Amino acid sequence: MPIYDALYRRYQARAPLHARRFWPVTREALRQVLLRRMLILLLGFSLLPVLYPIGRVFVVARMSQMVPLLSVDARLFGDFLAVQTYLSLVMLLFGGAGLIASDLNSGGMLLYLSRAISRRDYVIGKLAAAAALALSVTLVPAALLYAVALALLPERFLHWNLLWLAPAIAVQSLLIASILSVSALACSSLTRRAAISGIAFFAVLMGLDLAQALLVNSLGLDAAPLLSPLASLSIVSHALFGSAPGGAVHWTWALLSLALFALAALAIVRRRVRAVEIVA
Amino acid sequence: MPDANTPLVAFHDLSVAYGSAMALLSVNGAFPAEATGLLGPNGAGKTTLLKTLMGFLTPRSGRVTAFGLDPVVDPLGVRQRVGYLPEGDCYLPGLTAAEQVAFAGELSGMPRGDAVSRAHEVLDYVALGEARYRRVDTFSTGMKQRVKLAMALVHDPDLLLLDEPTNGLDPKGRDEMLALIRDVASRPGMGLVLSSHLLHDVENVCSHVLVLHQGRVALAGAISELTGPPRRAYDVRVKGDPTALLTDLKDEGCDWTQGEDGYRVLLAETQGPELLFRLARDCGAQLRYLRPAQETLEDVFLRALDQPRA
Repeated sequence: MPIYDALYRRYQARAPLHARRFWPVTREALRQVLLRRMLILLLGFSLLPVLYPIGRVFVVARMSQMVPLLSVDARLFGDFLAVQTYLSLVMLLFGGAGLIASDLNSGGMLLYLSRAISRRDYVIGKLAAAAALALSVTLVPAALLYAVALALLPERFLHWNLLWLAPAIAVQSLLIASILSVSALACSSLTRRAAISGIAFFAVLMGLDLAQALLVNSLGLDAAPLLSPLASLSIVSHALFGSAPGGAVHWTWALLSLALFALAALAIVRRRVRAVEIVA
Repeated sequence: MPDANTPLVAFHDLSVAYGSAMALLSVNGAFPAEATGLLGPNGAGKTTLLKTLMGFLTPRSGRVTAFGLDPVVDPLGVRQRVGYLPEGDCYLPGLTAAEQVAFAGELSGMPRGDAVSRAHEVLDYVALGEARYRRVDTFSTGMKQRVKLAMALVHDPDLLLLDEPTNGLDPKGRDEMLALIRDVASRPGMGLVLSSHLLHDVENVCSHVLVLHQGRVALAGAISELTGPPRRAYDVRVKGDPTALLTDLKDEGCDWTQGEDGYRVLLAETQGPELLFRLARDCGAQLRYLRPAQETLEDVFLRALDQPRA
């Protein structure tokens, strides 16, 4: 039977392009990532640490005699998000490192960039997917913890003094997600192999953290934490929640360092995702 | 719907450069709403022309208009109306053919529901209806080519850009693919650009041709006009030394090219084959073979590139 028996029919409903062109990219990227059972297990494991602060809030709410022993204040959220930062890193190590690398490997880049989406739409779409993974282990459990704290200790958390806590949680979570996501994408755009980009992502972030620790401890360089995005996030966390050692660096410098790091990572992504290469 | 006489894409004095190296030099031409073969040796500028058309490169001077749009100003608007079949693989691992084609439709701006139903339609059209729920990475080369064609067609483009669509196909698969492309090209209002090194494929599918050479248009027009009426070209074999006959032919204003075992002589409009007999008799040559010849696209292509026939 000839293969053109079925007639070709025209499609008459072409619509103007909508603004959320990145959305199919994000949805497909998340679908691909969540097809992996290990990622689901990792996500479940990453949510476990929230049980400890929730238990702490519960104990303090039920047993007033425990209040001097277990402090439940803003630092609880800062400490929790500090732990989740590392879990986000692991999450993106497995889920985010292949976001662009696999497209480069399979020719998926051709599929995207020869269509009616721009390079910016593509990057935003991938960035949103990586950020969603990071936020699922930072903002989501932190918001749950805050809701539990509000429900069980309303006299403390509905007080004027702690009303800034909700925006602070959102800001710190978004900061963690943004920095880790752009780092993961930058590493992912540098190679066609997801495993190599994952190793590069982990090595860059942990290597910089190790380097700043060595510089601080051996040479006493107070500004060294600015070298490391993880240390800079810790400084901002200290300013927001009063948790973790803040060090001698002001949080505005830490924010500036994070912004520069993010811009450098985006510049790498921009350079690597070159639409001009797509017509072979 | 544009008629066949209105070009879908037009190039006006288009020059494109990579740094200081000029890739296209004052290119003028058009892609009509019919099938056009884009030909040229490697480095001729075919890829640059397609990249500029899709809005990936900015011209140094001149301009391109596609469907009345400027790709520099509105690249997404142009790409929404173009279907591109690349030479290499372009699929997301793990997706079935139906998912892959529907996703391509969504990326071209179709609503999800429309993209899904249209994906099933075009997969039926390219005869992959029964394989639509199989993963594309398990497909044979021929099936992958057809999925790529379905992806290029899903949003019903006004212009199809096909880059070596028969690459890697066996003869049967190639014939089927060419039949499919011919069928698509026959749809009124739909333009098709076939970039290929296989002149036979282009001749089979296209009514027009645009030949690029060293960044310039070497030849453009309808294939039927370029290959000329059959009565003017003759395949000739001569016994003995043909030098004198060939010189006399030149003197009479005729053109000739050397073939494998003879000569192809192109007579002027007013001349007939009796001229060959007369000149052969005058210079004492023996004509052993004389037959009217239709010029092929290969002849036209080689002449445009100023290269001898193999």
